[in-house]
Amino acid sequence: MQKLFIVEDEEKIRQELADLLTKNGYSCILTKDFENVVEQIMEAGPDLVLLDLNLPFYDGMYLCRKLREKSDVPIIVVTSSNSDMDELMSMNSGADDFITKPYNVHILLAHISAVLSRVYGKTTSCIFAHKGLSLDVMKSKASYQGKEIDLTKNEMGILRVLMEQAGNIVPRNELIRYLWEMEEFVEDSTLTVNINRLRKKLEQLGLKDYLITRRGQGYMI
Amino acid sequence: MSLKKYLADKRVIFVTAVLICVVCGGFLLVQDTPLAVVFFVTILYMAGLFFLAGYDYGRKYRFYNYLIETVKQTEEKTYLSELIEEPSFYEGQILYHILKESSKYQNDRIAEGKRELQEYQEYIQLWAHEIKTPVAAAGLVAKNHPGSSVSSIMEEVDKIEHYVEQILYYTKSSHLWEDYQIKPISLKSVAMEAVKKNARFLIARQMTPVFENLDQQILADEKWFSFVIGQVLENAVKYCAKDRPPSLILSAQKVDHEIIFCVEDNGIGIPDKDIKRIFRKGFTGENGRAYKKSTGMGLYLCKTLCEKMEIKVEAHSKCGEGTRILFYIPAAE
Repeated sequence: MQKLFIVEDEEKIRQELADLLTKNGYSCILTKDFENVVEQIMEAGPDLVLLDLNLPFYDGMYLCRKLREKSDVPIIVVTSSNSDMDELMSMNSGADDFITKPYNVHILLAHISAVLSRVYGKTTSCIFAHKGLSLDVMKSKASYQGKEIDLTKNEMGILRVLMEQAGNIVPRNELIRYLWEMEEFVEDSTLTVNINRLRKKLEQLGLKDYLITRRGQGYMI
Repeated sequence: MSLKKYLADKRVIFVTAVLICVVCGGFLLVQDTPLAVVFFVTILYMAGLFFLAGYDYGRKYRFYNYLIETVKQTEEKTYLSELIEEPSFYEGQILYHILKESSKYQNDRIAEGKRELQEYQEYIQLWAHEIKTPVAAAGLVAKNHPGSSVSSIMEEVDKIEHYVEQILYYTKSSHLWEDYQIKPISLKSVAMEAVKKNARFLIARQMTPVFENLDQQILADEKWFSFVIGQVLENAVKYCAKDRPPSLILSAQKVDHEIIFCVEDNGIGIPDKDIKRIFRKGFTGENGRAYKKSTGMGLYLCKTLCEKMEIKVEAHSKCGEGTRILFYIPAAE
């Protein structure tokens, strides 16, 4: 499991971000002490650092430079200012990537996994599991009791969102929005077709009634 | 400064002087003064008059002409008093000192206003960035605790974000901010980015975009142009027709060195009498009043930001059938 170090002074964001990243298969290290951030990071030895720019005691840019002097750990800078200047400064301070708030959660995840795979090679795989079914996002494959099946991009996207929110109803519009984020600008009827295909594929694996329709509300697994 | 007007202005003095000369000449003649003497005295008198008038006209001509020319050539007219020298005659000196004082006052006021505006804009920028933190927090909470009411709340949070963006770009559109960079970008990716950003509104209205021929390289600032497209998309959503399935087509074609990018919807359209004015600041028109949610800022910002990026914007519409917003963007070769 890859370790992420989150440097964020806003408590709510820190906590929710950690929850989200844990759900997506990362382990998170948090800190409330912003005076000795660099030392803490060096001690924890994470695989990646998420660094906010507006921090008490030291500016994120400064921390980024200080950290670079001691370590090659990949750094993603997260900031609420969307000026080119900040982006440029971050890159010059040695950051690997730059995301502006309010970020889209899936984009943040995509950036993290892109930086990780760039730095540590293609070994990172994102695997979701629920009720015996597991989904390998990188390979776009679902498997159940030793049987495997290939999924199309849309099917994979739908299953991923459902698995991320396993046990909760996901509204149709949320599913469509996620597919749009993958640049598949589908309409409502296409989603129905994709859902039906996905359901058939899951049945082929021996999972009947795995994907439940909640009329008027959405889908859940 | 014209001689004719100068003479007309001093006519009382000249007429009086000439009258005095004639009366004196007549008086001398009546006194049996020799004709040559009378002649000599009047000539001397008239010569003195012409000399004094010429001297006065020359001084004034130099000062005022210089003043007029300087006003014409200077762009910052409030700096006029810095550019002229104090004249040698009395009325000029009065004017000179008044000008000095008045422009000092004006310049102080302008500087004060500029400073206040800049501070205000800085505060707006700061505020807009501050508010992004709670918006981001809300997004994360929503993601971790999904549900139908949460996604409905997120739709509202998206609107907040949208309005925050609008005010941020409003401050950026002022001439005091020059924070944009024109470089070759992909029209397709900037259009898709804008669609993704407005996905919630579009999906809620079942408005699925169609992309046609967008594989073009344009010269623009990515963030700015994405914002501009976003404003147009928002209008398409806001003014969509309720009685037919909505359509939204984003297309482009290359004509010479320009990319014509078109965003077309089949919404309620814009009345003919309004179409010329929709890019004006604060203009809401018939549609805006009917829908009550218009600020009149969206398209104004589009126009202002596009003008800075040297992109021409046009709106074509048939009332009741739909609207086409056209952007004429320099192509990146």
